[in-house]
Amino acid sequence: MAKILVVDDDPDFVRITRTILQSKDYEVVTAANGEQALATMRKEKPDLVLLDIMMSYILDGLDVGREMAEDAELKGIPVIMVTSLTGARAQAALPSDEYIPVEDWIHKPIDPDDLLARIEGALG
Amino acid sequence: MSVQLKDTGSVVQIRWIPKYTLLERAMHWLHTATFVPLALTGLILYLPLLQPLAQGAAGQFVRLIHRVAAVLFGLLPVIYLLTQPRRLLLSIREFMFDKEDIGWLKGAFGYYLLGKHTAMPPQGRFNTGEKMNGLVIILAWAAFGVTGLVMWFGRGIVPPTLFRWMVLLHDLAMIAAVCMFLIHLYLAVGHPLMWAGLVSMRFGVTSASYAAEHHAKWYYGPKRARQMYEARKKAASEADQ
Repeated sequence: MAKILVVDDDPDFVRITRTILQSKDYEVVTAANGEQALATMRKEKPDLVLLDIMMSYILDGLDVGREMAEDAELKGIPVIMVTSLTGARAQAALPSDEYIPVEDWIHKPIDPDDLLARIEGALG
Repeated sequence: MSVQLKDTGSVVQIRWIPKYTLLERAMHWLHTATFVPLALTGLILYLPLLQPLAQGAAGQFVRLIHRVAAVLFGLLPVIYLLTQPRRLLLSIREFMFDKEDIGWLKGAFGYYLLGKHTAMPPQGRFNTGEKMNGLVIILAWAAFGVTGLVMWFGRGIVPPTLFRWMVLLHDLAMIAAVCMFLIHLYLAVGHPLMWAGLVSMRFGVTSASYAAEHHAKWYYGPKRARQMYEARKKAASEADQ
């Protein structure tokens, strides 16, 4: 079964997400901040990353996404951003090097069925 | 900041950053709602000019309000600790002073009062002024708690000298807390650069652009914020030459 890396500094969220994912037999590894996430990715080679944005600092998750996009070893790993950031709105795409490419974007609190469906979609 | 979804090509742009939780905001406003009556009734009891208001039935009423507000004021941090201990510990960690605070103190007068927009050291979720406010509140809370309990229940029980010291310490803590409250009130309500602080304490969020400018260490992380600060300082220094 696919291995999923859950990156979040909220232990409660990690615990709940782990339970949801393990109910579908996904293997789960975790990290609590961006630095740990990159180290775990290089070691564990996950099939997908669930990535929170605000962790040690606000852009922590985005910096991880940026670093993944620039790293040949990591840039193929699909990323789903999971965040409680508010006031986010979809816009027409405009070229900018600030954009971090991700597979999907989910708002907290998450719906377990929705999360599993999106993971399946991202894993293809 | 923006995130692009690969399949659709659409972009999610983040405009608002959560800064304070609901409980943090509730605690802030309850703290205000208990501190203001405490300060007003305390001043009535403290200032000779207002002594007529502290006499007779009115005086008893003032003392009653002071004591009820004091109990609520004292309980608020305990409620916070019991309901969200992890969040409280995280906030205390964010309130710790570091070397950036020295640079902020050096530049704050010119920046906030004279409009000198020189490079200010990057700040975390709480800037140095907010940390100082927090420190005064914590110390005053502890001082009010100890001295207030002795003044309330200790008359005739503790030695008179100790009782007088408690009264003096209570008065000094009140002066410090009221002064800090007035500075905080001016910065939060009256200062043009700080309006966003009031917005975030009302709605819980702050704009991404405000967070990037005023809380760079919280926004960009310590390493990148420091690099950006050094670059700005260098550019300003070169422009001056």
